[in-house]
Amino acid sequence: MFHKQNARQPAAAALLALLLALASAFSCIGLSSWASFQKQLAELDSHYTTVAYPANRGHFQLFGPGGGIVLEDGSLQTDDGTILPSNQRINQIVGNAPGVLRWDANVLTAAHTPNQKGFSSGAADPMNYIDVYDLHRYSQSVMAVRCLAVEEQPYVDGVYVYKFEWVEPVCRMDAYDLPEQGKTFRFDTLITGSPASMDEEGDTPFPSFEVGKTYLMRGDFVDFEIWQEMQLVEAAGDEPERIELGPVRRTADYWENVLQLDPDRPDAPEQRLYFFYNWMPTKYEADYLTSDDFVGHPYPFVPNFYLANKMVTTGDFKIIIYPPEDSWPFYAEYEGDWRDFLNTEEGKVWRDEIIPNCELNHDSVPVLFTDNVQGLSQFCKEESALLEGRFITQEEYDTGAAVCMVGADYALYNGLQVGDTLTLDLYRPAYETQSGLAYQYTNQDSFLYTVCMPMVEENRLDVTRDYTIVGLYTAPVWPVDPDGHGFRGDTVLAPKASAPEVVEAAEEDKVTPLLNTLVLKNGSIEEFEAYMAENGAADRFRYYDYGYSEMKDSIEAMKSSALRLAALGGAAFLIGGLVFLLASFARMSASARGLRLLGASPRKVTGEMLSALLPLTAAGVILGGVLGGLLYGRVCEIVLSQTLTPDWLMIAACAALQLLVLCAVAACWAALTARRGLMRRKRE
Amino acid sequence: MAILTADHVEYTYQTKYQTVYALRGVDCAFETGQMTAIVGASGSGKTTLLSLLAGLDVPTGGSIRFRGQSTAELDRDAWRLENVSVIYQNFNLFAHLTALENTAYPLYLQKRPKKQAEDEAAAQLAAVGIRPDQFGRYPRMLSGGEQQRVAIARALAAGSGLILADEPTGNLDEENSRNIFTILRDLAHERERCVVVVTHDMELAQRTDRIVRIQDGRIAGEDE
Amino acid sequence: MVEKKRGLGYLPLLSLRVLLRRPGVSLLLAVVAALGVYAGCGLHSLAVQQQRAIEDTVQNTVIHCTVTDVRGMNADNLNLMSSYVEMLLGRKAYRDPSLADMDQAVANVKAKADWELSWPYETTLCRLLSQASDSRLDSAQISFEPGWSEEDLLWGEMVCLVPEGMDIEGDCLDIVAAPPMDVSMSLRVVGRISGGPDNVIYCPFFMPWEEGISMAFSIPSCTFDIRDTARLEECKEKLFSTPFFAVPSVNATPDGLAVGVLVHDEVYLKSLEELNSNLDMLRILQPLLLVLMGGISFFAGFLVNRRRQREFAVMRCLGMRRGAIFGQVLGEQLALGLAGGALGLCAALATGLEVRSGGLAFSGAVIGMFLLGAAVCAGVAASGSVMKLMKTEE
Repeated sequence: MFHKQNARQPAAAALLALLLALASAFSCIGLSSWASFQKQLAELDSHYTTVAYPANRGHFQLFGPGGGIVLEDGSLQTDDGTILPSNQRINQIVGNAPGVLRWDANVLTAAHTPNQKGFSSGAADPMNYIDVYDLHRYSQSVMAVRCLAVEEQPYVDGVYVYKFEWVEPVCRMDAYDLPEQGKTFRFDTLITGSPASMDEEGDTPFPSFEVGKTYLMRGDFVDFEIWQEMQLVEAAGDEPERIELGPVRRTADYWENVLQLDPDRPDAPEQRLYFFYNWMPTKYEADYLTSDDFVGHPYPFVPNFYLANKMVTTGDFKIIIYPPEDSWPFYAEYEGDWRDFLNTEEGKVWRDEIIPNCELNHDSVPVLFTDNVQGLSQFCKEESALLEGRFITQEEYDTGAAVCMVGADYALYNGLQVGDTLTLDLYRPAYETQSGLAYQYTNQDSFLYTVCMPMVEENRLDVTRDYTIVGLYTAPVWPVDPDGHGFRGDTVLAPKASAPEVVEAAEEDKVTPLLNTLVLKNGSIEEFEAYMAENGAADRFRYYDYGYSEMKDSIEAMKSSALRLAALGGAAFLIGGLVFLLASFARMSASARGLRLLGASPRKVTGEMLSALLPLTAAGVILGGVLGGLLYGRVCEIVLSQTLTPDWLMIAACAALQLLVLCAVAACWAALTARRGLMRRKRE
Repeated sequence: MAILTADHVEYTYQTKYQTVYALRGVDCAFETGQMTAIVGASGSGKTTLLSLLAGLDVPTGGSIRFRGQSTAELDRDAWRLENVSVIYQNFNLFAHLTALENTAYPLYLQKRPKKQAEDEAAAQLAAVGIRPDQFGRYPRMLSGGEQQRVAIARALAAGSGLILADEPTGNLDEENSRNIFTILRDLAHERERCVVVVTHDMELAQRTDRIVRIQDGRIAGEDE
Repeated sequence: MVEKKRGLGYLPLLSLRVLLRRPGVSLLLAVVAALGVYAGCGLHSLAVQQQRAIEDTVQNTVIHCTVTDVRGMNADNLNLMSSYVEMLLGRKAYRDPSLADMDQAVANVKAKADWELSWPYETTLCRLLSQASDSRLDSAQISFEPGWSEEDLLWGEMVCLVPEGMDIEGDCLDIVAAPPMDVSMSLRVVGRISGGPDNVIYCPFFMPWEEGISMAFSIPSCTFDIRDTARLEECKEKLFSTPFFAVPSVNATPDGLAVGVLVHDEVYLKSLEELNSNLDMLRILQPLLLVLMGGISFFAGFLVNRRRQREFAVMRCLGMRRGAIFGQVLGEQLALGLAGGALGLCAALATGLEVRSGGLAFSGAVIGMFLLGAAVCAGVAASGSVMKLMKTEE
């Protein structure tokens, strides 16, 4: 019956379908816009990383003014009653803080790079020399030396100072200059006599070294320091003659002359060969300062690189330092040519283990495994920046792709470019963080620096991977950060998931993660800080958001637009659908009554109405969906200058939902219409 | 004297399937003060003739003359407003206007002031037997007979000299039919209107002054 | 015959009263009109608000720049001559025409240079361009002597700022630069610093070495900001059009003249591109959605009034002219449109949308479509054959 009505009044049916199509198209466009806006918002959000970087006050807390009492949770209660929360307490509070997405805990380790040379601080530019960062790896050396003098230390009886001259470098990095062979220079060592030779008084009557004898010695060889000097610049072109202040590198000859003129000159640098004079590490004990510490804690044991020490208290206080029995030797006497010595029984360890290890460490890089390069404070503060290529993507972090970013210095030194491959032979994480007086380097009173410990065979993970370089970054020459580790341009940055073995080793050895940062939801800094302040931990973090706060208003406007478009679309569909149904049922109601008068049951009448209405509804909705999709795709093409296929799946889902809603309402409406009373009653 | 004449009226129209010759030369005259019944079988053309007499359209052949003037030459809307009232089988009252407003509607069309129009309407409603408490009711609240009375009242309120009724009792019972017919007859006889009634009820037709029989679009005969 | 009165009569008012007697349909049509007005105002307002937000963002965003070597490295160990700072401050235009008005492209130049002093003992002399140039002064308070301010740090006076606790005899402080410079001078103390380092004496960046003798000196680092983010490309072009500042590249060859400048604008530019493309989408969607809305309004007006065809036929039977029927329907729909429009306007204001003339124009267009739909329907009905309409069964 109603099919025939539609067929015989095609114009009316078409108008109804068209009305519904327009409403449906509006709704689909509204929804598509909302979805596109969400994608754009997500894309926009992904450009930014909001990071809360812990401001480390551990040392202050323990040794703060007036001291204090350490509470059960590790917090410090000062004399005036102020409670300074410990790092553990901070972690507990952070666990419930709003806006926290995750902790980024980074893992630092060293890797051997078989195909590339290590980049020491003096490699690319001798003027940028920073000995503290080259310690233990780049500055490791083996030297052939001759003992020149043995002098008793003026301050402590029975302890001697030995002076040497170098004969020949056996193994050292090319970046370190050496004076001409044969020149005499002072080499100091802190090694004193062996306790085996010590008497009851703690004196060592027999020094470990003898004047005139030659020795192979290993340790960290440190080059000359750089000084600022004034020098006259002659006139050239329009530039007048002038005095300029700049860094000047002086040779050993120069300083020899200076010292001859003024032997007591305190600022004269010296070439030195440091022995690895760190004490044997004591058993690691967790304390409130160092557990979950943000700057590293006592490093795992690396064999062969420690000196033992013994305190002798007979008479004056004194400490003697000596190589442990089971360690590689730190020195060995030889006669004649050291090369011949290497082939002897005693020299074998130098030939087969010590010298190869030295070379291994020269060709190495520190590798920072991270989940978020842009969350590192150096990038946040724009002290480091991307120079070429791109950052590591979130997908690469998630999947542990073998990609990396390298410092531009390192890339330049090794002739690497974006797209090249870097082979990393990974070692167990082991590093130490030291506080150094940095006055002469950086004009800061002190700074924390972290260096990787030497790599030894025992710590090799036997994991070698090829990493593709995706980006080059610049790094400060003096990476000082009062709160934690700064990294230089020799550091490789790679996704943490690409080296699960390293992460596992760090956990096994209880190596403190480095450069921990909290990643916060963009725009949640204020909320987070307010929460921390409420819990007594105000000002414990520094915040960086790459300028998201300036973008916030625009992002909020976008979110508002997206919502309003979707709401408008929904409202348009509801209203249009209502008009459609009203007009449709108005057409059918008389005939429906007629059918009922003829004896058709309400169910049959309902079915007849729906069977005519639903195809019309479906046609309208489908037409609307197609129209909406095509129009929206055209808009995207115009605006985004690329052919975009609309999200037909979503449009189909939207159309399906619309159809469902309309069918449900139509069914109810049809049922009510069919069940209307047949009697024409007077209605008041 | 004939107020309305049909001179060899023909009316032909096209449908989707055929050409319909509804009237094939009808000659007829209607006089003031007379009630005429047009009778015929279904499809004989009587409603078509009535519609042409009402000026709803113009004949395709011949002419309808009102006081000697062809309706084709008139402003038929204005002519209908002033001179013609049509009463239908299904009443054709405005569903969202009260009985009073329905009755007053032609007066509103004539731009009469509201008060004046409603007073006149009330008088006409009373004249046809509608109670004052029914004046404010909507058509759906009235019976068929009452609705038809309101339609008649509307026709009276317009003050038309020509009252055309198409099966006015078709939807009414016997008693109401008789009452309506009585009203219409009184309109003709007592108020000197020209009343033309289309009906298929011969019994009612017998109560009119003249019966015109129409068949196949032609006048088949007249009876006084 | 009764004399006809002039004017509209009571019918228009009656027809409006009838609207209230059909609450469902009248409300539906009013809601359609309301939605149309809301859509018109809303879509326009969204674009305006978003545009304004973007402008605010551009205004509030500061683009930082870091001076590096031409390869992009050594940003903190540059050995950059102070003459480059002068270039950035626009004070070297005589040297090269391209340096003219450089200060219109850059702002907030930060630079400092530290010299070790042998007297006072264990102190440093820091040449300072501004308080912000030294992070050690981030939370410091500087109290200037009357008549002196931070602006004086730019100029070449032989003055200095000393730490709060430093003992000074008289108004001047004698300093001796550490070897190898071995230069001594007397500086007038013009202010004290509390909350900063207690072993650093600050002096103006361009302070002469001696009276009348200026000297170029090297600085380890320099940063600055783009003066006007809205003119970012223009400022960058100005900067890189000189032979002294270049876009850094790892493969660049140092020529001893040019230094690199890393402009940290990648995130900002990417974001701005997203925001602008979003705004463009909104602007294009605007007319599209309004056309659709207009269509919905048209059909709503048409279809709802289509049900009244028999009513119009009866009116014709009663003698109402076509024009009068058309006018009455139009009047009714106009009333509904205006009522709905007012509703839509209130809703727009209540939901925080800005109602502007552009939005009102859009809304007017939608209401127009609504009226057009009703008018077309009324026109079709009014002009149809009355006989045909009267024969139509209910």
